[in-house]
Amino acid sequence: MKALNQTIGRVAVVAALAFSIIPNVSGQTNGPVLGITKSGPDNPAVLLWSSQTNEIYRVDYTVGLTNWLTAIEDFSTQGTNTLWADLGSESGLEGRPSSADVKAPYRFYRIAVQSYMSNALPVTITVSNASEGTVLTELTNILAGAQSSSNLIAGRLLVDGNEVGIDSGTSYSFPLETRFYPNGTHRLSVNVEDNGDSGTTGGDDDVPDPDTDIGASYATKNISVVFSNSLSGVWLKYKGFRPELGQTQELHATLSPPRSWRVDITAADDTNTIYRTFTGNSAKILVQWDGLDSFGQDLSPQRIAYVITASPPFITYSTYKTFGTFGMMYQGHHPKLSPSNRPQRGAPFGQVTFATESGYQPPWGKIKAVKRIASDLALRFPISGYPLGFIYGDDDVSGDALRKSSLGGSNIFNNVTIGLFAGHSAAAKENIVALAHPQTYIPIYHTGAGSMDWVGMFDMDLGSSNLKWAAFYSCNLFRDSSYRANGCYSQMKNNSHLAINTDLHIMQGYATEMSVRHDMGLFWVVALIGPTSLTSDNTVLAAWRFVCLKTQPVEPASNANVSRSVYWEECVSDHIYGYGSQTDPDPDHIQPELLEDDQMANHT
Amino acid sequence: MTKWRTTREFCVAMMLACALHASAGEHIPAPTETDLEDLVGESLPYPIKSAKWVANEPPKTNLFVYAIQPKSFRPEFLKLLAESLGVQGNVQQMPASMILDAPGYWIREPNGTNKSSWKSVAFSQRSGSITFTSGEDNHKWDLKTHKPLAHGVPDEKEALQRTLALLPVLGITTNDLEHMPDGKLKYASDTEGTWYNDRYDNWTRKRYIRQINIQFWQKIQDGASVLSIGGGGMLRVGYISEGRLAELEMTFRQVRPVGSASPKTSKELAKMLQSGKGRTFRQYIPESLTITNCTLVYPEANSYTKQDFLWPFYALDAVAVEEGETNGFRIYEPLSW
Repeated sequence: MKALNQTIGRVAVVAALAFSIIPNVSGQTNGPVLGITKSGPDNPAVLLWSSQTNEIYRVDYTVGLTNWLTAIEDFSTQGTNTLWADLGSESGLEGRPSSADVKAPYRFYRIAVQSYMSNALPVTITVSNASEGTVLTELTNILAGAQSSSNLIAGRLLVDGNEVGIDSGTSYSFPLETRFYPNGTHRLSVNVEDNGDSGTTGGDDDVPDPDTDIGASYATKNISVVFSNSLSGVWLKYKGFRPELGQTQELHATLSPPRSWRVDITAADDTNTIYRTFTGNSAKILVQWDGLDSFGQDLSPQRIAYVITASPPFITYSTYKTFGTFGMMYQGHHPKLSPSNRPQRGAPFGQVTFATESGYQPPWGKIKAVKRIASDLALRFPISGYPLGFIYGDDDVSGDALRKSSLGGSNIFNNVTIGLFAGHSAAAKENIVALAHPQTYIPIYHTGAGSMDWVGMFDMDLGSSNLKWAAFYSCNLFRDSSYRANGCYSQMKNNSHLAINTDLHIMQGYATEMSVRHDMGLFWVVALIGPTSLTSDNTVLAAWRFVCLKTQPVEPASNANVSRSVYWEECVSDHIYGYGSQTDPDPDHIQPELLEDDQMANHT
Repeated sequence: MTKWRTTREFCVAMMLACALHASAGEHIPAPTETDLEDLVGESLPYPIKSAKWVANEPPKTNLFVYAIQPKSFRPEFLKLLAESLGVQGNVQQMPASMILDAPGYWIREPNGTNKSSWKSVAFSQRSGSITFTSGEDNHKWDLKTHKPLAHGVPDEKEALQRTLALLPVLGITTNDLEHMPDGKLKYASDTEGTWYNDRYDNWTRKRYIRQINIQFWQKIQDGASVLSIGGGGMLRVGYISEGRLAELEMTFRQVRPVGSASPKTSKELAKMLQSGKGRTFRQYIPESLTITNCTLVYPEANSYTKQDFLWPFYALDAVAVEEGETNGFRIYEPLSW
């Protein structure tokens, strides 16, 4: 982030153009050029610009040239020319319709150099089952690999600059459904990323240097392939369809050759439950659905399947209405040496010490994985019926955002349905004078101020008419003496000083230290919205347990990490809205009535 | 000259030697930084100033590197497993929406009273995992009396015996499982429970047990242990009230030796610590440590993570006394390969 902060002020506007066609940028010698092509009225606009091999870009757009918005950021170069198709987005706070939507307004674009890669990434990328001109059909699997002396952490597959798959390590397998794209030539880009390690010893520092390990580097291999399908260009206007906002869902597709077709709109879990049917006989399929069933009735919020029967059948999915919103705060940019200020106990005492081993006092350093968790969840929650309320990271997080209103805080988790914090937290050892017992804290660091703002458990008040489930992917927020010395969970609970109120159904965290893993978001959302082979019933409790089982390492039992769900008794079988039932707790509950489910990670 | 203690040990050594010979020249890539973070945690934050060694010398023999692949099971095996575990239904392709496990096969028996729950056995072709879930989590709490209702969760002895009895159904024997240095089968158990304050007993903090789990590890070789992250290389079986099987997950991988690693001495390992080399899952490691045990481990990632090799690491168990507290830590040191 340091590199980004230093360079973000040096935004270079490469070009700003309305839709115009510049067919070729090769051979340009007079500076950077941005070209935009649109091969048909209902095909997306494709931006192509001459690029440098060490640049990371941001693409901005505007409709009226007065208010520029960011379409995509941290977008790495694809080499000497970089390509990106504007397919729209439903993640983020404001959606952006696909440029393939004929009703989308004209847009102007500009490309900004957001930052530069700190290191060149020496890598050999191979794609084993596709090459220039390969014809791809239907659902296929792109197999790729990368060899590098640097520390590669992930590979991504992009189609026309849009990410369609991510895989870890150096050997990649990307499922690619080609029917989601128009027939014709497309650019496949395999983009690999290192971990930002400065790599002084063959790319594998034994001791990371926080001053030099500043940002990821990327490398990309591009190939042009041809998609060829009898059913092509299938896209939904809304993957998160919200008829309650007046939206009309549109399903677009192209048939070659033209023929009769039928689209059944059904329940996702049961395609025999048909809500509406549309038929036609044409080359273009355009279904416009007002969200009502064949009896003119509204549907309950749910997942919807769009079954296209035009030989062979094809299914695509959306959510129907929203079930709630998701908000996240994360901090992964903490320094390692200073500031070392700790919370005050209250007169006449000084600062607390923390219970995470005696010598381990703050600050506690970087957590690289949290930003990756946030990026992952920003994609997964909106298409699961939970548009983003907010995602604030690093210096965009303030202590007051977590604090309750009676302490002057804005308590913004209470504005969303599901909240997640990822970062550091810790348990104090000594009594806090005002509470008469110890409590746990979340340290909020701000680079500019160079200070640590400590938000205590009792400084928060979680639960509202919106917020029902709050999770903390961090150490020791519920530190419990059943597992570790100096636990204070019971004292917080027995004194009704936990942050959960009776509007919040479940609060989740860890009763011990834990490991912040980059793939936490994947396991969490998958287990919240559907079954896994281990959890047929996707309850909120089961999903948190699943995250612990899948992300926490094996250690001797005395060191095993323990996740915890704190809940009111009625909420034991809660599912998040849209994915099962839930029960509101009795508002007269007191905190000593809370129940706690613990999950110990596998241990030796 | 090496003395083979048993005929079996000699045969295993010969098989490994043949395999290694056959694979001579096979490239064994070093783990990437991501592999290392996934398998053995983050780099040490700083050099360990004092590393006192009181453990035995590190293991020096059988330091093999293995290539691994997901195991494969035929649908017929799944059918037999389902019959043994009481799951009714036909073998079907696992739905693509189960993105952590698909592609694969499963047999799913819906729950007549709870639409969102079912029994199933599944085989993930992606990971090679075999799983069973009964759809029960044994949360039994009386909302009127505010008391737990769950009873009859088996004790450790019964759960262990029942798990051993399941091994033939899973197509394995105790020979496929890791043993302790003294020859005893290695296992672990834990219970899952719910804490509550008992309003009828002065709000005393209590815990009711909902499930007991038994864990075994796949045997890689004598003298080494699987270090399981998220269930890799592990068989985990859980039981609930009335001894009912609640869940089972087995992620055993096919292993093939492809090379060997060079050993390190205790002096070399201590020097590595002092130069800040090593990895740990702990956020904090004291600057002064006493190494009390050193073993050979093979880290295995969770079922979702692709892993092509098992690399050997030394697991160093250490203690540190700080401000009167004795805390345990674990640090992993890679061998050279």
